[in-house]
Amino acid sequence: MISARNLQIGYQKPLGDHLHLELSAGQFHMILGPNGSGKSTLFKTLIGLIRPMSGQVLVNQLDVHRLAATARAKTFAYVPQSQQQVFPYTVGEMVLMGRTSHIKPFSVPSHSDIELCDQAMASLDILGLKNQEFTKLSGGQRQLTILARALAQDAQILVLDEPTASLDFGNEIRVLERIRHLADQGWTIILSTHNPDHALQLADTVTTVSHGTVKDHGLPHQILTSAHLSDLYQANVEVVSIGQTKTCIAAQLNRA
Amino acid sequence: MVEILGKTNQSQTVLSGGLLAICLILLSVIASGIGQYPIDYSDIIHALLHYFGIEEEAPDQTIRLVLSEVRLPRVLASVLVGAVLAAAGCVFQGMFRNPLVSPDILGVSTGAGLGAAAGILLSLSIISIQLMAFLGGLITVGAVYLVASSIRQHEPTLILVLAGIVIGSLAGACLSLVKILADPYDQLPAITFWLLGSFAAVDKIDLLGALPLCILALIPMVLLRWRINVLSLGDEEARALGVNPDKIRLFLIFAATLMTAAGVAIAGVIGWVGLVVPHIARLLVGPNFNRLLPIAMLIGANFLLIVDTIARTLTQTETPIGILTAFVGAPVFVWLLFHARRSWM
Repeated sequence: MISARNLQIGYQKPLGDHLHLELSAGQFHMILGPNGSGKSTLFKTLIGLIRPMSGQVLVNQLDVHRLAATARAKTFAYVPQSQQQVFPYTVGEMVLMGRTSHIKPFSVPSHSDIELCDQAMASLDILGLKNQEFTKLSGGQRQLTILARALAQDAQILVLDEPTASLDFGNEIRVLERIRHLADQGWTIILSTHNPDHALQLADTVTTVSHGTVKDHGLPHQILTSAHLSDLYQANVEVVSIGQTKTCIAAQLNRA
Repeated sequence: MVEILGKTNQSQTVLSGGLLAICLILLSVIASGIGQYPIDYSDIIHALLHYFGIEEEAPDQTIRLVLSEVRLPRVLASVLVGAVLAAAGCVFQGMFRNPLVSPDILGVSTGAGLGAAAGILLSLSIISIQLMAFLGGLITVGAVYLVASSIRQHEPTLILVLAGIVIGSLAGACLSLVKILADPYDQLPAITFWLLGSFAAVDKIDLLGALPLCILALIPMVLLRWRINVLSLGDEEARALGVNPDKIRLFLIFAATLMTAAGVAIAGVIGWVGLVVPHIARLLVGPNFNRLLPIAMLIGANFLLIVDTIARTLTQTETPIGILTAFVGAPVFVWLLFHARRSWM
């Protein structure tokens, strides 16, 4: 569905080598990589928010970077890293903004837009928050609101940039469960994370990024080995099995 | 208008809007009666009814003249300028995602001040001075936009604000130069008075000149009312939601600058309205531009009408309105800060 060909990412100069990546429809893809590896840049290049240095990204044979703003918004629904909002829009209004690409430039949301947004909120159990101010919500509720906005956007692919970055443990689990549930319903999802456990436990495929290019791509349990993760993060990492699940721990944490 | 939220917000907007509109009409009639030559309210209503052809009997000639040549143009001008300053403030605050932004942020007032001062220095006619002020505002903001858009790889709104500060202070320096060159007995007081703002010299022609420009500038704001909400989430989110922020920002800067320059050209520099009024409106109906714009415009119109009526009746001589808006605006703003909910209203 998404294919990156000869892609070189970067802002003013290339961050790394040319990369190739194929992500198929209806799967849950995760992108892992240390700070400064170019993970976010790759992410934003894939969805057309940053121009590539060279190469191209195709979605259903169309060049992402040639799409008009509304066409791109109908392809990718993007959940950015949580950021402070200035104005106290209500949850309902925030979710409605997801419909923007379906609303004519000089128009306002219609009743059917509002109904679709209500459904999106209901599917994430946040319809009760509809008239509350977004700025007063907890981190987890905010993330679910933005997720509902992405659902209401009715795009082909859901893209989430570290959706659990600022959440406490409970909210992290709840938000990830929601996202996994969406993947099971057939959504194509791309998610970036700092936590290898997310990929080990939830992803269909995983892509590791370092030095501005793709290091490896494949099934989580094949790629995310102790050796690979230790090399990726330049730290002593061990993948262990606890019952059915695999988890990743810091081996021999040095205490000074 | 389509129902955006639950019934409460919708009806609250209609209720506030209705009350503010009634308030504005009543205040306009009252303000038209107050002044050096007091007019009875029944006479005003009579004159208005005659004007619209509802009543046959013609009103007293003096009353008719005072109303049509002096009072009504002034009342309507303060209503118009108050409304456009508030509208421009709403647009700029949303666009820059900063509630502390006023319509002057990109230097429109300083530029207009410079234009007017230069016009006074050259002893031009009043119409020419107004035109110079209008063009000065437009050119300054145009220069800011050009400088900002030639610098890439930075947050565009931040660069715009910085360019506004730089070019604004440059225009301020030029204004100081003009003041030094001006005749201290004749031109300098005129420049100072202009920079403090006043509706004293407004006549019908000024009003008819500014009105079409303001209406023209209002069109993109009304048409893009939903997109402006999306823009206030920040460039990256706006882009991801399907809005091209650069394009829409250009339209909005042009529209807000056009209406502010038109207002400033006839009334001089009037501070605080564009900063404070959007806050009060947001407190009433929330940040959704759909509802914010009409309510803010109504509040701005009411506010400036009241302040101008005070400005021309407080003392024997006219008090510059810019001074009064500061005296009213500053305490109101402090009050707002105290009563602000956790985030920005």
